[in-house]
Formats: sequence, C-alpha cells, structure tokens
Amino acid sequence: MLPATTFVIDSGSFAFAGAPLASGEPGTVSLPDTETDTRLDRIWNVIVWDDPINLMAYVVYVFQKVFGMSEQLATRHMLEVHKEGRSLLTSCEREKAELFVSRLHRYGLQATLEKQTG
Amino acid sequence: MNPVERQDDDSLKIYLPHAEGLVLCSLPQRIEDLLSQGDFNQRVADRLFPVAYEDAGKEAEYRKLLGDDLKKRKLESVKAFKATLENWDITQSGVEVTIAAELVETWLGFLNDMRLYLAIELDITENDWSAGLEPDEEMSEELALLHLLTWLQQCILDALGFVQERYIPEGEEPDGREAEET
Repeated sequence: MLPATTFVIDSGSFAFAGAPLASGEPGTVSLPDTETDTRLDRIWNVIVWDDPINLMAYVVYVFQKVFGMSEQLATRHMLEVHKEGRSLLTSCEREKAELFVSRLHRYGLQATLEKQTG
Repeated sequence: MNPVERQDDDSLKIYLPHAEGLVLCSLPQRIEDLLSQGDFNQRVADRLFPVAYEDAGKEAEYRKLLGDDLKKRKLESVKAFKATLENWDITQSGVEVTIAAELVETWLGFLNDMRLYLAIELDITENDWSAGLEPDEEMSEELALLHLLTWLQQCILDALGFVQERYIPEGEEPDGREAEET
C-alpha cells in the first residue's frame, strides 16, 4: 500500500507519513542548507544590559519572574551582566522574544533583541 | 531591623517614620505628572521606554505592535501605588502601609521607575552614586530621595527573600566599588 500523501516535517528532513525519518532512508529527502539558514533567521537572542541603578537582588527577582529561572541560574545571569555588561538570557522565535523584551522593559531592565547568527 | 514585614497572606506591612512616609506619599503625583506630560526629558523617555531593536525599521514595527501598552501599564502601577497609600495609618511612631500580595510586584516596579527617573535627572552613570560629591557637600533632595527609595526597594526585596548581600561578588561593596583591603 502506498504511504499517505501528507508530509512529516522534522528539522532538516521530511518524509512520507509512516516512512522512517533517518537521512538516506527510502522516502526521506534531505533539505538544502538554506533551510538551516532560514531557521537561524527566525531565532532571536534576548539580551539584557548592565545598568548602574537596578539592584542586583531586583534583577534576580525579575529574571525569576519573567523566565521562571531558578535562583542559581538567575544569579549567574545577573553576575554576567554585572561583570561583562550584558547577558544572553534566551533564544527563541521573534514573537516570543519580543514578548520577553517587553516584559523586561516593564520591570525597568534594559533589554534588546539580536538576530542569532552562526 | 527591616521596616517591611511579610504577613501570612503574603501581603507586606511597611512601617516608616513620619518624614519618610510623607515623602513616599508625594511620589505618585510626581510621576503621574511626568508620564502624562508626554514631552518629558528625552533621556528619561529613552530609559523608561527603551528600544528593543538597533534597526530603526524593526523598532518602528515593534512600537506599532506594542502601542501604548508600556505607558498604560506604568500609569496603572502609579495608580495602584497611589491607591495603596490612600489607606495608610498614621500611628504614634510613624506611618503604616499594607501592600496586598497582588500589588507587591507593582510596588517594586513603581519604585524602580521612580529610581530610574531620578538617576537620569541626576546624571548617574556609575555604580557609586555619590562619586561626584565633595566630602563635605550636602546631598541634593533628589539624591536623598534616590537613596530612600533604594533602601525601601531593598527592604521589600529582603522581606521577599532576595537579600542583596547574597548577590554581591566577593571583594565588592554594595554600591559596586571595590572593597578596601583591611
């Protein structure tokens, strides 16, 4: 019996439903590298910047509230901001990243979006 | 002793001396006026409503999508702050204010906005806020207010379990200066 005509999409390859997804298997076609580039194009980094006013404890509080981070992880990011001037908090699709940035702005933190590269 | 006490229902009770309590009560009007003007200091606007994108086109798209949301939320927090202060109690020892659990976050946000506003007005760019002061120079009213609000915000965070001292890297003072060797 012929496989169904719907496609199953999985990062970097697609196959007929029911067919194995491993690259090189019958029914599987590898997508060109441009697909990977398109995926990267859709991923944005949420960056938070150092500020001489926001208290360290407040920044940890905000990271926990906005991202649901553990205290340990939130502290690690806060110290990175303090020492390096910035910290990459998360990478996700643009819409979601904008939501995170707007929430950080609501709390008074300086945050920006950067397109992920490489 | 921390003037902020966390209650069983997660509300916070704040006990302040009369002078500090009165200063606190004058704040909402100050920031409400500021946000309603719309044409306030550009540097304050840039800090309270920071850019999300370096690219001007993307930033414009983002602002269009966001609309007045951020401004509305900030004005709401001023109103919530003001409403809480309307129910203060004056006792013999000072002023007593209760912050309902659902308003604690709003209070912290408001205090932070107010601190950011003062810091811009004072042109503070370093962790050590008093760096520009001569040893005998008196603090300006704004700088004294910034210290008061910082202290209050820290007391609230302490009461919530976010104790500043826990986060300060070894060898640094709370204001970011390097600790003097003893």
